[in-house]
Amino acid sequence: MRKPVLMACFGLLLVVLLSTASSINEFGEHDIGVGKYYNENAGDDTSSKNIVTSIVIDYRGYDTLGEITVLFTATIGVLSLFKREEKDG
Amino acid sequence: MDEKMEISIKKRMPERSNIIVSNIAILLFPFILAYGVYIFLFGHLSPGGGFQGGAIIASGMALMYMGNEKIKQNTTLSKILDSILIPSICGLIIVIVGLFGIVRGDNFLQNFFPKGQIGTMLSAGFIPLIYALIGLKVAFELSTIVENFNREEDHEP
Repeated sequence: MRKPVLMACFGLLLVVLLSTASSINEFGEHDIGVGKYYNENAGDDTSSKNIVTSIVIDYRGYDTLGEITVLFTATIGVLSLFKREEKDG
Repeated sequence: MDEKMEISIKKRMPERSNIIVSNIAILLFPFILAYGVYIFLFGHLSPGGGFQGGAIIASGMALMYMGNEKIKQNTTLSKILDSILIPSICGLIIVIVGLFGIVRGDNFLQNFFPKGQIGTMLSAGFIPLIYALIGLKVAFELSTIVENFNREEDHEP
């Protein structure tokens, strides 16, 4: 009973994926210009020699702030689990 | 039953660490610290950055916690690490520097410092400052995690 349903779902998924396969871009070509912009203008915009750093801190600084917050929250979680309690209260 | 299990666990985990580990840890720790600081100070010139440098420093701390017996009994260090004061201050400074961008009429976290010559140490605006703060923050946070897990291992009920 369960097997034909699963196979039908899988076949449907396969049909959807294959129907979009003809319309994806050629390998190495895409119509999103942001990568090209970073590659050409990051040096002039931020004067950082490392383009990855200029993206991480400058163009996407807000995202990095979120990453820092995630690590901070993880530390607080570990502390709340493991912090030794004062014996005298 | 419980006492037998405790004894067997204690037999499997000896109190003192290997002499090679304990000697090499003290020898290598300053170099690991210096390498981590180098990684996050030169994040805008070479591969690397705050997260990577902080992780390197925290791995040095993990080596010390494995090898050195004295650092486990150092209560001042564990107090500093447990009160997450330094990561909080670093995160607060990053947010305040970001808010200055809004005050000037630009975006949040806008790079408004003077940019400088490309390829030099003091270039790229506020990227070195932010990366140094992130490096300190990540180093202290991961050291706190390592210290807490390590202490839990030594905990005696």
